[in-house]
Amino acid sequence: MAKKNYKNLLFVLPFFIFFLAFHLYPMLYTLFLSFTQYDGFKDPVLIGFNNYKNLIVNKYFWNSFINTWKIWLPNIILQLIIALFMANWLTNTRLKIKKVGFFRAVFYFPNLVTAASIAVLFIVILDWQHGSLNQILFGQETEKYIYWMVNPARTQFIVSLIQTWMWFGVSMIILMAGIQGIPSTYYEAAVIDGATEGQIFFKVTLPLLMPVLTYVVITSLIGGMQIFDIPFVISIGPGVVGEVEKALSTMVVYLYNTGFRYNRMGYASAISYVLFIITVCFSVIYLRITKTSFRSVE
Amino acid sequence: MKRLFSSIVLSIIFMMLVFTYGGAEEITLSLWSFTDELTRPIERFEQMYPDIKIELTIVPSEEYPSKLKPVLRTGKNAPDIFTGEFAYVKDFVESGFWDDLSKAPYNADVSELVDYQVEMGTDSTGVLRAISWQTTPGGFFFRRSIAKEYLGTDDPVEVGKMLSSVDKFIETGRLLKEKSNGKIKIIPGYADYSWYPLSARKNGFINDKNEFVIDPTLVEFFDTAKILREENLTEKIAQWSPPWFEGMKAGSNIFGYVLPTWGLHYVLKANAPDSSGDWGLTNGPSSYFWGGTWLGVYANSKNKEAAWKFVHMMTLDHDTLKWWATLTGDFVGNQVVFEEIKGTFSDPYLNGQNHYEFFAKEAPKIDSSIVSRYDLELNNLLLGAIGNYIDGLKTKEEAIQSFKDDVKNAYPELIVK
Repeated sequence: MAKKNYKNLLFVLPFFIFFLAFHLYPMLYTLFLSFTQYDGFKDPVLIGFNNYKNLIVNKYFWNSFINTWKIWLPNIILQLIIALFMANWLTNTRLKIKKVGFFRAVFYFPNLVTAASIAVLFIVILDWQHGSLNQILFGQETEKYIYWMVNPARTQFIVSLIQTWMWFGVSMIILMAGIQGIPSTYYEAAVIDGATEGQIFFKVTLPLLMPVLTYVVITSLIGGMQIFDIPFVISIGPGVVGEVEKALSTMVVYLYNTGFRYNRMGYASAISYVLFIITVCFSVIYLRITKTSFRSVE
Repeated sequence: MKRLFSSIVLSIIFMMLVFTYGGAEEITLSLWSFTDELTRPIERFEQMYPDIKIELTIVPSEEYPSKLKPVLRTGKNAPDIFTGEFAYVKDFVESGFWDDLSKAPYNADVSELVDYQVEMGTDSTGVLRAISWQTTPGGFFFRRSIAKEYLGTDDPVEVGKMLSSVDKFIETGRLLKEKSNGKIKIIPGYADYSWYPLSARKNGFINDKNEFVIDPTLVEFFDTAKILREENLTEKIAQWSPPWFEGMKAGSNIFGYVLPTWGLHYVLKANAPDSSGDWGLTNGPSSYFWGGTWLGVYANSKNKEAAWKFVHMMTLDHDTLKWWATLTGDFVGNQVVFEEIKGTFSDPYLNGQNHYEFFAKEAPKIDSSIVSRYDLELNNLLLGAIGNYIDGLKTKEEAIQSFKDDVKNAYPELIVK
């Protein structure tokens, strides 16, 4: 008869204490706040489901939902294309590129810089009258200068590009690991059967990479629904006003503004829970569509 | 042996008593602010009152309200004294976390202070909650060299006449552009101009029925901004952007900056020391004020009397105010004091002009009754709507409508028609 060994529990206790205090308690308190009206100063006042009712019909919230997708979708598509191409190229057994580690590090660098610094950098580069990009393109002919961030859709795309630049290194590294996990017997068999590079990529590599690819897309989706730093810092930058500022209002930017600028913490808490539900829904939809499970390839 | 031992123990106990007794006399106050501006006043205070120490906690301005509010609510490690910047002072004043300064132990006598400054620190029920050591009337800082070359004079009074109304301001902008073949721009951007229409309003954004009001002066501002943009009278720069700061330096093509009292020291002198002597100070189409910092005592502080000593020293003590004005050039909010010292100022940065005289005339003209607690965000939304209009993204009616929609979204408790 085995005696229950409670000593094991001691080892996991620190994690659980940390989790309870810094994750579970704030999550539950936010849930409570979402049913209240709270400005940060006076005590919260319970108002039932009013926040949620207002949220569902609020066009500003749904605009922020669309903005989040308009920024994330181009980003993930571009990112996957670039990362897949680079990963395939760097792990190609025929090319046998030396110093792969160097490339891995260099492509990972953009991810290490703080998002706020990057946002400020791009605001300065893309400035209408004095930015470096315009000066490089048109020299002293100031009438030709392009007002890059006057157009809301264009500004959203610029943010997508920034996100791609920051994250493609991470995706690439994960995909490289995925490709290297594919048994080489498949490639040998394909080469013997006379397959071209393209056929090898689309018929061997890609299908066997699906689990890893799914992982990359889902983690990007979860992060993407919560995009905050780059759009927020650019939206509060000098000269970014009106429609453009609103176009950069992703769901979390909207949450932040509502809670911390307009002092409606209860409503902001409701937004965070709706965001959670939306993220879960899309993750489930994606998993169903690709019908993948995380079982390893035989 | 025993005698020696007991005498050692006794002396230790004696010394402990002395030290704790000495320590118990000393009070430590906690002061929260968003800049290090009060560092020198705190040093002065600690010299005046050796048994009161003040610990200054500085929180950057963007995070200041969100970090301070939870601390005030729970009371844990809450400051005894805290400042409030213009952007959120009305919020703090209404929150009740600043104590009523007209009651004991404060009994603040604010009769010598400029009216609008006291009004900003008073809540909607008429209770005085915060006072400031400064008033921040605004002016128009212009480049003397540009004025001499294209306007024929650099006398602040003469230049002021050319800017004394909306129409004259635009005319001067056109004149500068014409005479310089399009090189000289009167101001950096339309946002710089916004202080004038905002302050010239008869109605603030919120009336006493909690309705959102757009004063006709603001509708006119849409048109003024359009003219400034279409006729290329500005450099199309946003305030506080790197090119905006660059434009203050020597050799730039920007004629003037719309800045208040602190703009001279903390913006112009700090960023463009090379253009010293080339600046003059005059008026624009209307009087305005910008910013300011208010001080108050935490309502649940355990050291209210000691805290009041500091607040009193900084805001009402004549000697301290004179010391502060001479030290920093800051424009103090006490009318008796600034009337007394205004004659003694002459700033080489302004080619010897006495900026104190100018601001002393402006300060009493300021009307802060049109200021609401939502102004910071509402001004931002207004500038956004105007930006969309002059960038060609919307028509004037669409821009005004989207402004109203944005206000409704931000503050659903307001009645927006």
